[in-house]
Amino acid sequence: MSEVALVEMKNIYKSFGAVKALQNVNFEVRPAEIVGLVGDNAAGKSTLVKILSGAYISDQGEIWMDGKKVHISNPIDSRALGIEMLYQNFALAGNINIYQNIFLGRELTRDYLWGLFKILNKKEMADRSLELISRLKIDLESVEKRVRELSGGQQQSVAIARVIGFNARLIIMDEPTANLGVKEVGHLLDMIRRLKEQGISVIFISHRLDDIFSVGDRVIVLKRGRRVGMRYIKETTQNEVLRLIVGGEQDGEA
Amino acid sequence: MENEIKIEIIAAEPTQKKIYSLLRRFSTLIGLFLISAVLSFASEHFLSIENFLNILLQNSNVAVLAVGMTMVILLGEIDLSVGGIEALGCVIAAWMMVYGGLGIIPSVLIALVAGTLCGMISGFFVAYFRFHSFVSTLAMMGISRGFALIYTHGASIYGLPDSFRFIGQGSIGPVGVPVFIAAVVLFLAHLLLTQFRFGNHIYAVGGNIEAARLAGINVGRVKLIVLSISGFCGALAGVIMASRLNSGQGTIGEADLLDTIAAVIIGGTSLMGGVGTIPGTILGVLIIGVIRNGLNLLGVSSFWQMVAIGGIIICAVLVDEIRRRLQEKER
Repeated sequence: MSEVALVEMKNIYKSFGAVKALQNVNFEVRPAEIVGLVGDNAAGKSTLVKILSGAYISDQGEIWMDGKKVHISNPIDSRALGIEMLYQNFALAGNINIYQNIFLGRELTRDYLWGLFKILNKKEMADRSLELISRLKIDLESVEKRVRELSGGQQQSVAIARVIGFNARLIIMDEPTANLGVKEVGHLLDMIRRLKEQGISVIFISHRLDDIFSVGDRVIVLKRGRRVGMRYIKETTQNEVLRLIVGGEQDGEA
Repeated sequence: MENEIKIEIIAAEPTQKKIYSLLRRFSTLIGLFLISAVLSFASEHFLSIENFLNILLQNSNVAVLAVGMTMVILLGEIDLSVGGIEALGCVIAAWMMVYGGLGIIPSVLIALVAGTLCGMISGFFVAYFRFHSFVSTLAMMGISRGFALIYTHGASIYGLPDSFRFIGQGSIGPVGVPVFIAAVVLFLAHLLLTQFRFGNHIYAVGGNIEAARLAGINVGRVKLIVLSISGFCGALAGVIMASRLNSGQGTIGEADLLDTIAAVIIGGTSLMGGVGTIPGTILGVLIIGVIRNGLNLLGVSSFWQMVAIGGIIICAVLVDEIRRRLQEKER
């Protein structure tokens, strides 16, 4: 590891009552790297990323970013560090339009009467959304369409645009391909490659090794709350990763 | 021959879509015109400017209540306390002037603050104790109405200053002052919903509360503020009523909850939350007002009017359902 990791989680422990969800887990993502996080059900994948996104707080362990120790105790902390989460159900409001969703909670305003009133700057939000969408090569005719009227894949594109629109450096995707058709999965994987080109790192949780092998740089395997292996995609096979997921021998990785 | 038919079908499709879209968008307006047309034939007194201004005047308090109710229903919540808070606002304003020895402006302000506080209390339990608004505003309905009756001992408070009449009985040109008050409140609410971040947040919370929360919106705070606004509107309607009746009465506004909810739903606001506008609500208030006025002109008793309004609510929800199906066909 020559490069400084973008994010490093060190010796993470987390229990829920008697259930030890994570035990001494180490995890690292480098800049512009796509890391697949795999494991059986209840391996601790979601718990681990929720600690990173601020939804949970670890019992023990440290998080480092750019070589500096950071504290993440809520989702606002994590977002301020440039860590964004793409939710399984996309977390969009279907009744409002695309640009309103992209800017939800961080709407752009213009001052009126010496800052006494802050009026929504709809044009600016629409323009910036269009720019963002063309940068990601998302296929949408208009940013004024209600999100409810979009297809599942388009909705996910909006959710990604929303997430990267605000200087995200790391995007966590929890089972992003679960609810998509074959063609839409293809679009998503293309988009992940484009994020990498722009220097954004991605943590990609999936049951589908095909997807991880098509875009990932590395894959990290969890089993029953422990890290049981790490492989570079170029140097491994799906069968080997599958054996780690099922068998879970502690291998001699550094 | 076959080719010709095909061309026709292809050409007809977009037109049909347009018709569906227009029907959906203007169904409330069309309804208002139809009802007005029928009433114009049924009663010779209906179709006149004087009667129209009268309808506006008589429904200005419902219009004010409907502003708060629109925002509350947009959140997917409900406010059952508006009639009770209206009575409380009416009584407090009258009591302060007659027994409290206060001037008009402080009395009105105290009534408005009291109404806002009532809304804030129900909002507080909704926001921070996860009460359903149905429960907390049902309780507030009883509490506010009860206090209004306690203050008046079940009777009326008379002896309000003459100049206070201007709010409810005065007019600017041919148009009554309450109509202007309602217009200002409607306009401000429309601005809030369409031009401000807060309005955006109301729609988002009503559309997908989880998404709103994840976007960093303080969902509890939005609910608290909206229910406070509804309480404010309740008290404002009460002040208008105190001035119109020239007295403080704890029994006013008992039918207003029904009319207000009916107006908002007829105006196209979805009880599921997230869908609705102030212009729609204006149309809803006008429809309810026109129907009440028409039934009055035809000599139908107010008891039967309640039955009619109840039936209209059912029709409105049916229309909403049909509208939704038209929308699906539109796609």
